[in-house]
Formats: sequence, structure tokens, C-alpha cells
Amino acid sequence: MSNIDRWREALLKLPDASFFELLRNYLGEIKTPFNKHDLLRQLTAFLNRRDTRDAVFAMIDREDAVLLSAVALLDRPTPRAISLVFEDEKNYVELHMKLVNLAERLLVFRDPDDAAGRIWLNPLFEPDLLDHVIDPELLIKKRESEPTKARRALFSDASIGAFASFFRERPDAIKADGGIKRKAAEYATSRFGFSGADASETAIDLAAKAFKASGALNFTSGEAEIDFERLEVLSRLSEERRAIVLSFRAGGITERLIESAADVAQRAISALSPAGPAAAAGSAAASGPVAGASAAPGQPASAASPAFACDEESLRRLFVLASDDEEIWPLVGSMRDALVSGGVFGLGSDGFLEPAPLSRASAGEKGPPSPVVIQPTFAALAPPGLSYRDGLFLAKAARIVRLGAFAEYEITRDSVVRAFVDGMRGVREGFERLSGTPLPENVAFMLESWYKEYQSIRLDRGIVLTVTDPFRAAVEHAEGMASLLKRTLAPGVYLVDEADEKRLKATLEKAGFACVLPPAHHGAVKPTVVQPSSPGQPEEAGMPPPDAKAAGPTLFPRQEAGTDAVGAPGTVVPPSPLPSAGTSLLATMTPGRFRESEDGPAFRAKLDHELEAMNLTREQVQELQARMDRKLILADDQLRNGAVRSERLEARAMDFAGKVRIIEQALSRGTDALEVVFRGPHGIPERRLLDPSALDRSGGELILAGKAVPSGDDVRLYVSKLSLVRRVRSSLI
Amino acid sequence: MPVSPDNPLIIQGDTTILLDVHAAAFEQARSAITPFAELEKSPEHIHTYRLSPLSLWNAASAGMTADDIVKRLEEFARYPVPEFIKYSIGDTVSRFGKLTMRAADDGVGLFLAVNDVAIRAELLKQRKVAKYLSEREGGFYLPLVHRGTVKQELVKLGFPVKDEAPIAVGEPLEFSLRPECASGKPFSVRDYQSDAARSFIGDMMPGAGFGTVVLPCGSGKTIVGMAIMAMLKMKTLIVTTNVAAVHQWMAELLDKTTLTMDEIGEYSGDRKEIKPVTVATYQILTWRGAEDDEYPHFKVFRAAGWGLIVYDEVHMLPAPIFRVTAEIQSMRRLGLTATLVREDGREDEVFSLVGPKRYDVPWKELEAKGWIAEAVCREIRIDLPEDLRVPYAVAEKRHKHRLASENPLKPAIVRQLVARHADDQILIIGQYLKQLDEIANDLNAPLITGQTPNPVRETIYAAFREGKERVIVVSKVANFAIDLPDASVAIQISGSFGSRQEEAQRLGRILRPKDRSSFFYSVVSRYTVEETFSANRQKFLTEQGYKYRIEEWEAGDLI
Repeated sequence: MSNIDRWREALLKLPDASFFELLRNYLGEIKTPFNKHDLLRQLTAFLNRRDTRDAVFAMIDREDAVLLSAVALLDRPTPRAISLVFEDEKNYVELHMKLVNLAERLLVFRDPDDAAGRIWLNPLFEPDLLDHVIDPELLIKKRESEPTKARRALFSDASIGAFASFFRERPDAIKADGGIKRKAAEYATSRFGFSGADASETAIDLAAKAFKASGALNFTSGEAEIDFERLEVLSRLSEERRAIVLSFRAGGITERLIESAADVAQRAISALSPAGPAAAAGSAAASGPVAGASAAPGQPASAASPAFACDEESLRRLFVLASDDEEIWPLVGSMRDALVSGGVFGLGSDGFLEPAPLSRASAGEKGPPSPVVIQPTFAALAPPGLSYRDGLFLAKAARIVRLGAFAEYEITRDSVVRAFVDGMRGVREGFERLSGTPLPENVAFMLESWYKEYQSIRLDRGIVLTVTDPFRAAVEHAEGMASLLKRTLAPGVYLVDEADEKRLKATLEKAGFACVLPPAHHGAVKPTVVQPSSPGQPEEAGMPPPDAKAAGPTLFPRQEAGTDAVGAPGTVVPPSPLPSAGTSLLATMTPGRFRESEDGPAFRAKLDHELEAMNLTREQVQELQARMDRKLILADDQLRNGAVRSERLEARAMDFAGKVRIIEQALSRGTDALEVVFRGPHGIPERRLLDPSALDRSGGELILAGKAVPSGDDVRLYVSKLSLVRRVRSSLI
Repeated sequence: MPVSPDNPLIIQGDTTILLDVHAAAFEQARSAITPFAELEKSPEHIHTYRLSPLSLWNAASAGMTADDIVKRLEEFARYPVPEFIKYSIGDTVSRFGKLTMRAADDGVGLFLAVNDVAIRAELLKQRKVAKYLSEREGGFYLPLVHRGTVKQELVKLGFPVKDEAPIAVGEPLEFSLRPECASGKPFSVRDYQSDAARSFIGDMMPGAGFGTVVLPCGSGKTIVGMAIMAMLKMKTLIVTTNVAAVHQWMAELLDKTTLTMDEIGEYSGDRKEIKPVTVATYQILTWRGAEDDEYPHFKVFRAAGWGLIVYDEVHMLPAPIFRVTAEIQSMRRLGLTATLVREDGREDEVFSLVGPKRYDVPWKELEAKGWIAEAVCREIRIDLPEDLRVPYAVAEKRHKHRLASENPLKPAIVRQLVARHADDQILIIGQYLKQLDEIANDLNAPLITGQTPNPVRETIYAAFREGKERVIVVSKVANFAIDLPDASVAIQISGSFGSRQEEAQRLGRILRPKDRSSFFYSVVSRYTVEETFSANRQKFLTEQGYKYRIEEWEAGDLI
């Protein structure tokens, strides 16, 4: 169905009263017999007239433009989504009135078949609205970012490695209640330069929370233990995504919603980049379908630097604009706070939120990252841009000394031996690879020496086979035995893999030896964690289908580009789509494109003049003036006598009978809402919008029953307590 | 500020500054930051400096503003200077000058001017300082004798004192440096030595005339001291580590200045002379009959109208001297050292009493210019013999070190090294006398220990200088201030645990410039605590840019 057909359907499905009222306004008195389709053709022709269109656009003021922009940028939003955008500045009743007015003016409509009640731009006006009215800057206050300010995200790749190293070095750093011990905090403060001592303490605290929520920091016997495998899982993500996910985990965002929330945050950040989401998509396209969004070394997904800062309210709005998941909406405030705590956004001197560079490119770095400098002092200095995996390598094999623009590690015996114990091999080769040059002689020697030492004194897991003479030769030479004997620990004492237990017994039995293995007393077995696949591998198969919505004018075009999803602790989940190709209206539209028309007041003056010249009753004049105020009069011929049917829409105070009548009218029309004002429990006036369902009698009282809009909560109110009842004609909303 | 990948400075958030020596603007950047940042390490690729309160206050006292400092950092920074660092520089520098010390109106004591009421209130709450202070309008009065102590405590509290109290003018002493040594060799003060002397002297105004000069072993710290003495021309007390060093100072003064024997006195266990230039040992000054007695020789500090006190090897300043140094803050004080490190971590106290670092230069820079010898550092590892492995395994930790140090396979290695360097003058340095004695006997070389009388030592040194002895074996008495100009090989067979300072000083014994490279060997028992100690010992030198090569020797290969 084309959008035009959808709009026509919406009109045709209006209750007759609403339909004819609407048509009468624009086409004048409607004579019987009538044909609704014919009437719609007439209406379309009327709206397509040059003078009508000019009048429509001339009367779009700033407030209209803000709301229309929200409708356009939210890409067919629900009323709830719209209300979230304006949560901090508009009462929902006012907002609803404005939407009703836009619908009466035929600028927007609601698809009657859509239970969610999504709001569309009228396709007749949409191209011109996009060209002249829709302006993201009406919703988002932004300014150029301040590149002079050095900002660092709390969970940059360098920081994550440093935190991991810190927790590994100080397993006693965290108290049972989750707080950081004072001495550990001091220690961290001396190592991490997060803008002052307090900030460093907070940083460690947040890092602990994020790691715990990621399953990467566990407690055994009161001491913290880093699980590098859980951190490895995050290597599938771009640096930007990692910073966001960990910020959300530190901020306590529900794990189930982290994926969606991160999608939303990334879309919002993309919108603040110079070229918008297109930039992120461009880099994805250049590196293959997945690599762009995953963390290829030095090739972050979002190559464009966020070049705009926005105010706090705007960031919240961006999140709403970037999400169509109602579960996310209640979180947008927490998401913003988490990203600010996590340094993904820093507070500028003017209160604007400055995005931190989350990749080498956005930090202004060009070319391949510099190598790690390894000095004869056993210092390993890692410049910015080190890949996440290389950062984890350093965290495993060295201890963090300080973290700044460079991360400075020290290669110590303890750190290296711990890496060996964790199963890491090729430590020396790893350092050589990172440095790109031969290691200093003393460092290379010591790495070898520590490895020899580690190998000389080690713990092995397995089954020990002991054979004494005279059976040694027979057992050693039994068929199939040689491949089972992993190591000879001593003459007649052999180590066999646990996994080969059955084969060993079978081989022994075959050789004629009865052998019973005592029952194993296994400790806790570490769950196997599925290793992440490399970019481009078939994880894509698990991707959900792209958003079913048709492409439209939107701030965040919904086309899938790649993989950038993180699993909840202990799981590996399929990726979700990232924002990709498309145009960021926010980033690309000329700021301040919307200008209120100077023709509007002149058009209104002309209508006033016409009205004055007509011979109408006082009620008729008042009704027409009310329509002119609501910008429903677009042409002189709408000021016809037959078009005017005045209706009472509100009743106040002591007019009990009037209030009841208006409620009854709303109930009989079935589509109208009611605006009511009453005093709440503390005597404070409350204003509500209701979808009325019944007028009940209880004792001597009449009770208005209905559902609150947009929450849908059941409401029952004594009519006698209502100080205002106003019927809100539904029309197309 | 965009990223400038070619710039050499990386400013870290914890106030350290990394300086990339391979960057084109390395030299300019180093010159730019030296006035306000302390050099911590200068290894091969990246040097580390630190913006300490003391270094920033020194810069402030030299007239630099916070903006000047930030501007210099930004000019050479590779990445934007962290905002916190800018703030911290501003805050630290702004503290300088809030407290000013000057002569009190009574002409006897001192007046600590503190205009800020809040700071005055804070100081009164700090018991460690308040007990010395009497409130006056606009500040506090304090007795002259507490000058150093109060300054020291105030620095700890984060309030540097702009010391404008006049420095005492010592009694004059007319002398000068010779253009030619008494021995006939040409003599001139090298550029860096002159720079160091000028940095110390400053503008001769209050605030200058006290501080520490840090120069590598063998680079001529004594000459810096003499140059400063010649510039001031005042009676001078020199305090040094031992009698050999006293004699070395005296010999140098006679050789390179116009001072005569009548003007130079020795104050040691052997002699108690007070002359216009007196050279004393720390040992004699801190001697006392019983633990509760006063230090009778402290009187030396006040025995003459000294215009300058020189603390040689100032990092060795014994704790009792702290007290007397605190009392003589009105005198010019010069500290000389090669190694800023103290194993007891009391560097800050030393420098707040003697004075801040006024001059420092990386060792490798002087090596590159040929002012000190190029040194090749090798560590040789050898297993403990089979029969010692179990005793070692069950020994107490302290005894383990000794067992490892006295590994009976070490003398054979020493023999081979001595043979390898047949044309070199060789020092064999160790900790344990029994081991040294065995090696000396084995090599038929003279042994110098703490017990060796000074005349005997002098005789051995003389024979060594003259080439009559090619090898001498020395205990830790050789750690400091022995002038052995021709030693080009040092073999360290044992040492004081992980002492970085001892390692550096021992290397210093072979750094006199010569026409060949020097070799510094450390012999270490493999798979013992000695390895760990050895790694720690090497830290200071690797931080100075020295590289150690480690060799593993097998017992079977030894001759």
C-alpha cells in the first residue's frame, strides 16, 4: 500500500461524524447523495492547489515545526515516543492537543490499522515538509565539539587492559560490599590519571562494577579473580561499542537490554559525528560486512569522530529518537547518566556533553598505531591505538604502572609467570610482535629464563599411571600406549590426559592388565566459553532480520551493516544490526533550516478581513475564528455559512449537566478523548487526558471511567470533582 | 588541540611526562621542560620526567608562570595536555609565594609572612609546624634555628616557602681555580660543570645558594664543587663519606685550585683540623660516645664562619645530620650526588633540607659527548654447585643471599674474566670478606677492606694508578669516592642485596673517560635470590639508559 493510499484509508475509516466534520471544514457544505471516495478526491485536489499548499506552509509556526520534526525523525512514532521526546517541556495533554491540531490540519495522520497508533506525515505534504520544515536542530541543541579538551572514556581499550591488570595485581582491592579498599584506591590513584584522585577512585569502582556485570571479575575466597576469557568475548566489539557496553554495565543497565541500549547509544553517537551514521557504515563497507563493526586492530567501526556536543536534554532525546523499543524508553535517562559516568560523554564548561574520542581516528590519529616500546628497564609503553586484544595481552603478561595517553606496564617475573599459569604461551614472541623490534637483551633473556623456571616447577592436571618393574616394559610397549603417555614424570610414572581415561583403560585391558581408576574429585569446572569467531565468520547467520519498516526520512536509517553485539555473561549472542548507510539529518542539514513564514500573519489578516465582511451570527464568527486560530482555514471559500456548525466542547466548574453532556458526547462518538482537570490528593490541580469508556453511577455520584493517555492506566473520577471537562475531537489522531 | 604525532612529549595524567628521544624535536623539548620538570629516568627510547610540586615551585621561584609552563608543554605535546594537569600546574604554582620567609624586625629571628587568613588558620592547626610559630600580624615569628624544619614541614603540607631570608655571608677566602693542574696537566671546567655551578649560585639573591647537583659518577662532581667555591670565595666545610674521599678532595683542591696545604684541613678520626677549607667525614661528625650523648663534633658546623657547606654524596646524608642541617639553613648548602635514590626513601627530606635539585644531566648524554666512559654491562649467571643446592633450599632468606653470593664457582669466573681483560686495570668488588680474601689470594692481588689502614690503601691505590698492580680486590669501602682513573673493568661478585645506589656507584668506578670501553660484570648465582636482587640493583642504571646483557655460564665450562 502506498503512503497516499494509507492516508486515504485512514480518512475513510474515520467515524462518519468525524469524517464529515473534517470534510465540511475544507470543502464546505456536503450535499447528499455523497460518495466518500469522491469527496476524498475533492479534498486531495483542494490540498494540492498551490494557494492551499502555500497557506498550509505559511501557517506552520516554530512549535508546529518542532513537533513535525519529531514525527519525521522518529520515523512514524507512537504517541508514547513523541511524549518521551518532549517529556521535560510539555504536558501530555498539551502535546496531544497539538497533535490533534496537526491532524485536523491534515499534516499528520494515524494509521487506524496500527494498534500502536503510529503517527505519519501526510504524504501529500511530506516532500515539502522534509525540504522546508523538518529540522533536527529544532529538537537537538548541539554545537561544535571542543577538540582542545583532552577527554578519555573510562572504558577505552587502554583503560580496560589497565583495569584488568590492576585487579589482577590487587585481588584484595575490593571489599565484600563491592566498594574499593582505601589503600587500593590510593594505589589506583597513583596509577590512573583520571582527572584527580577522586575521579580515579570512582573509575576503579565503576570498572569493578562493569567487570563484575560482564562476568570478568569473580570472587573466590574473598579475593577478586579476573576472567580474561570473559574480557576476550568483548573483543568482537568495536572500541566504541565496548566503551558503551561497559559504561552501561557499570551504570547498572539491565543486562537483558544492554544490546538494544548500546544500539541506541551508537546511533545517537553516530548522529553527532560529522558525516552521521553514513561514516560508520562507510567504514563497515570498506572492511567487509562484519569487520567494520567489529574490532579489527586499528580499524574501529566508527571512523568518524563525534564532532558535535549536545546538551543533556538533547542527548536524552537523541536516545528516544534512536530507539523504537519501548522497553528502552524508560532507561534513556539512566543510559545518558551511565555514558557520562563512563566518560563516553564529558561535561563541557557550558554544560554541553562532549563526546570522547572512542577510536584512533576520532582521536585524530592517522596511520597505523605505533608499536609498544619495550625498554631495558622492563617497561612496556603502549601508545594509544593498541588493539583491544594486544591490550589484554599486556594486561595478562605485565603489570600496569600508570595509565595516561600512554599505558605504561612493567614486565615482572610475577606477571609473566601468572600468564604462563593461565595457559599463555609465546609471551616473548608476543612482546616481540608488539614492539616490532628485537627485545632488549636482558628482557628477552629473562622471559626465556622465567619460562624455563615455570616449566621446571609446574602443576599438571591429568591421570598418573604408575608401573613398577617387571611390568614397565610391557606397559610402555603395549599397542597404542605411546600416544597416550603425555609425559614421563619419573621412571615408570607417566602423565596421561584426563580426556584419555577411557582409552587408557581400554589399552591396558587389551594388553592384559586389569586397572581400576579411583573416582575423580573434580573441583569446579570452568565452563567452556565459546571463543569469538574472527570477523566475517558465520555468526551473521544468527542476525535478526532488518527492521521491517520501509525506508523513510529518518535520523537513524534502519539498515543492517554488521556485527557489534556483546553477549551477556556466559553467553554468546547473535549480533544485532547497527546503524549504517543513510543520511544523518542532524549532521547534514543546515542548522536553522526552518524559518517561520512571513506570509502566515498576512494570510490570517486577510481571513479576518473576509470574516468581518461576512454577515454571520456571533456564534458563527466565534466558531470560524476558533478554526482560524487552529489554522484549519486555508482558503476564503472555507468561510461559508454552511460549513459552520458550532459545537460545545467544554464545561467548567459548577456546570455539572454540561460536563455530563460532554462526557456522553465523547462516549457516543467513540473516538474523542476527554481532557479533565481535578484536584489531586494534596489539593494540587491535575490535568489528564482520558480515553473515556463509561459513565457509571455509584450511589448519588456519577463516575467517569476510562484509560489515561498515553499510559493506558485505568482511571475512575467523580464527575462532581472535575473542574473542567473538554472534549478533544479525535479526527485523524 | 589535534594530535601531533611528531611531537616528542606525552603528558600523562599522573604528572609524569614521557619524552620520545627519537622525535626530531627531542632536544628542544628537553630544554623546554628541564626548568620545571624533574628527570626520573632516561632509558634507551623514552625518558620520563615528573612535574613535582618542588620542580614547579623551583620554576616559579625562577619567575616562570603556570601559563609559561602549560605553553611549553602544549608546544611539544603529542596529545592534548590533560585538563587536570593544567589545573594542577596552575594550582601548584599559585601556592608559591603565598608564604614568604624573611628576616624578622628584631634582626634575630625570622618572619613567615602569610597574607591568606585561611592558610594562617590551617598552619595553626598543624601541630608539627604550629609549635615553632608565634602569631604576629600578617604571619608568624619563628626562631632562626627552626628555619629548615619549618620549611620542611610546610613543603610536606603543600605550602612551599619563598625563602627570602638572607643567606649568611661567610668569611672571605681568596683563591681561584688554576688554569693548569699543579701536576702540570691542562685544566678547565667543562661546560656542563660550569652550567651546574651557575645553576647553584643563581643570582646570589635570597632563594638561591642552596641545592643539589646531580651528575654521573666520574663526571667531575668534585670540580663542580670547587668551581662553586671559587665563585663564592668563602670559607667552606666539605663533608664526605670516608677518609679516602677526604684525601681525594684535599688532593684535588691542591691540584686544581690556588689553595695551599695551610688552608686545607682534615677533620676525621685521624685528625681534627679546622682550616678555611675543612674536609670532614660524615662518620666523625655523627660519632658520639653513647646513644644518649650529644654529637660532640657537630660543633664543626659552627666552628668557623663557613660561607658554604658541601655535602658530598648527599644521598648518603646520615639521619643525625638532618637535624644539624635544619639548624644551619642560613648557610649556603651544596649537595653533590650521582644517584638520587635512597633505599630508605628519605630523598625528599634530604632535598628539602639541603635544597632542591638545581642541575641534572642524563648519564648517557655525557657518555655520548665523551665526558664519561662508555660502559658495557654484563650479568653472568652460574648455577650453585650440586652440594650447595639443598643447604640453599633450606636456608633462611637472609642466609640464602649469602650462600648465593659466596657461590664457590664465582672465583673461577673471576679468573676467566681477569684473563679475558689482560690489558685492563681491574677492580673486583664484593661484600663478603672471606670470599674477597680467597679471590685476592687466588689472583695474588691486594685486598682493601674497611680494616685496611689508610696509608696502606693509599699505597695500593698509588700502585694501581701507576700500573704496578693490575687487579685490586675491594670490599664495599670502594663504593664511594675513590679515584681510580685507570680502572676499566669492574667485576662485582656480591653486593648489598638489591641496592640500586651501590650498583650505580660501583659502575661509577670505571666511568672516568678513557680511550676504550669499560666493562662492568656482575656475577650472580642462577635460580637464587641473587637474581631478584640483581634485577633490582640494575633498575637505576637501566633507567639511565644502560643495557645489561645476561650470559649463562656452565660449571663445566670453567677453567
